[in-house]
Amino acid sequence: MANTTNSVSTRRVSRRLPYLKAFVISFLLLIIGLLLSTTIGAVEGINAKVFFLSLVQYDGSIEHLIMRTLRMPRAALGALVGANLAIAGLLMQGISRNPLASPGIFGVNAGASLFVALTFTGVYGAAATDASSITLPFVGPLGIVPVAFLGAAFGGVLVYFLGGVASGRVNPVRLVLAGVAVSTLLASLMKGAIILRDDQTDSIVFWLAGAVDGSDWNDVRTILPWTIVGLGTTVYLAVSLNLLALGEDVAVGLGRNIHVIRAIGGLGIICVAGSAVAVAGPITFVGLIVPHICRRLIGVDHRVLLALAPLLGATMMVYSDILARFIAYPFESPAGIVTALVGGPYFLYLTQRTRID
Amino acid sequence: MTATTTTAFDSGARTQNPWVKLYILLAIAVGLTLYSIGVGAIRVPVWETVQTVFGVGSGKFDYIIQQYRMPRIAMAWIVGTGLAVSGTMIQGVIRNPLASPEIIGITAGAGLASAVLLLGMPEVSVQFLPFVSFLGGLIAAALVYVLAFKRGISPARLALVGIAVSAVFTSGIDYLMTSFPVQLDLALIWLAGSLWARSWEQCIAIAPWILIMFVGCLMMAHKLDVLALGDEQAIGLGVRVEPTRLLALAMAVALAGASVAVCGTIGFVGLMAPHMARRLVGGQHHILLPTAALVGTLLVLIADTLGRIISPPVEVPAGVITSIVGGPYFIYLLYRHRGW
Repeated sequence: MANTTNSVSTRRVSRRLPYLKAFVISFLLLIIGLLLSTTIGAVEGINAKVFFLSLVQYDGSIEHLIMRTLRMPRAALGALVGANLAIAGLLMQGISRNPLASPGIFGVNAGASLFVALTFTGVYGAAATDASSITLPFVGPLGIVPVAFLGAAFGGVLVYFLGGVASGRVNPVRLVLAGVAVSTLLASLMKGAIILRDDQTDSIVFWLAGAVDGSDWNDVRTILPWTIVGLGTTVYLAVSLNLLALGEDVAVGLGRNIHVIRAIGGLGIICVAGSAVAVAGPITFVGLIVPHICRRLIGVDHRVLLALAPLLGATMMVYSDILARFIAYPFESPAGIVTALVGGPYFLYLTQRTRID
Repeated sequence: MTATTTTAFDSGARTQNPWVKLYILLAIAVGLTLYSIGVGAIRVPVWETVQTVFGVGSGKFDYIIQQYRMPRIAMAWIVGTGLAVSGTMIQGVIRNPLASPEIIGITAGAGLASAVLLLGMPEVSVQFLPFVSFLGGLIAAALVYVLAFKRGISPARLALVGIAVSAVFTSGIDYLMTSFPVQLDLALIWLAGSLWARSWEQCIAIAPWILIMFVGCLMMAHKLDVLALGDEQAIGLGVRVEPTRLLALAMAVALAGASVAVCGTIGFVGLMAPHMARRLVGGQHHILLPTAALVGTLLVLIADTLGRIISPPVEVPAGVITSIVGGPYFIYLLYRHRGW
């Protein structure tokens, strides 16, 4: 007995350093990414100095203007979207105890996109305030977010029940297949809606691939509260998720109410994933792979994961956005392309490791 | 009916002559074709349609019917056949009721290769399109097959790997569409799978390819039947299993690839048509293949016709409608499949 406690405590001690290391490295990476993101672009002469000067002594020059109204919100939005998606993925994987769970695969993104697209095309409910708003899709973001929440809930709940999570004893692959089928279905409905209002196809094609360019501080203001809500949810649920990871009966035996955990987690997922889709379109694979990377780095304790996952999600998204600028330089490409290119192979790797049969 | 719960392949009602059903399907398809040529933004009466198709009409509708509607209807036949036969071959060979050209990555691979050719190298003749998309589909399918192989191919692993590979290839298509945004009509077709604005030129480029492959598949029908009994029985009956399987898969790739090359992803046709055909005529490939082809054609025709009726003059792409039907069907199959 003494032996086991001893080994546990040494393990805990030996983890302390990696925790710190992981946090410091991801934080530094994120800061460097934000700097790069704000200084790389088609306009010359914007460097780190401009970044700092525009913060401390804003002089209204073109460089400072670009920095403060274009580059900074874009970088900040990328970071927040990445953080949101990572939180969503962490919560989903924790709640469903399914390593392949993520907002992209489980129909949450598709549901939110469908509802947002329906609003913009005016097919559903109140028509978009301005038909041209789709060129910069989120100039009226306040109305969009609740709609995206509804859509996220719709897609997620559909997959949740069709995949058989509600009935217990769920097969991860079956859940994924149900998710893909529902996503395809919702995406088709969305394409139909878009094409029926075909005057804006161009920008919709771009938005659908998932992008954070052309964003402003309004978008950041739109998403930030929900990031905080999501973080709060993970903090609240961290211990419960740790117990749930030991098995549903263990969690129940230790006095947790599974249904409450699932309901709160579900609401949290809807907030973070829905708001991310509302401002940036459906960006795939960030929510899937970031929690896995975090677990590899620092283990399975949700109390630590909840801090590292948003950080790494933000980092991944910021760098994806930077890379996306180089794909077809000087033209922009959607960041979602980069995340899919990186995330697809990682998903493959996960399918190789997951016990399926 | 009790036996049908164990396998999704054997739910054929064989009390009636399957050939009769085939001819009934054919008649329905021909009737729908004539109807479909008549409807759209400009309505043409049925008799006038028939006359115009055979070149003895009043001439009023000659252009719209012969240059606009007939090629797209012909394309519906070609693509419906291609996708459905491809799905039948894949399901027969892999013995997996969830397999279809989309699931195993062929569609995305062929789509990416065609997008590269059409958007990146517009100066290359459209005649090369089937070949290029075949190559793309082949690469994707080979990738999926290799990655999913782990002491045999399990249906679940195949589906997962297919999803992942498709996601990567689809992001490539996304990239091309956003980088070459001038070809909006092409983007639309890739986005949703549409028969819109297909021309005789494209029909002629694709039709021989599909026809030859279809005949090839029919010639393999007997071997496929034997293969359906299981590998050991097939070997015992003198069929070389692996070469047969690879040849059948190559044909499936070619068929789906060519279809995707011209019309984008008309989702779930390759999945639904074989299942429906099996229910109609049973599992024997010499009758199953043509029936599946007709069912596929009907699905694409109905989807395309509906898409034109819903809100003229705007068209809903056929792929949108097939996915709206096919998604739930796929989930239904998921429920019936007990092989986890």
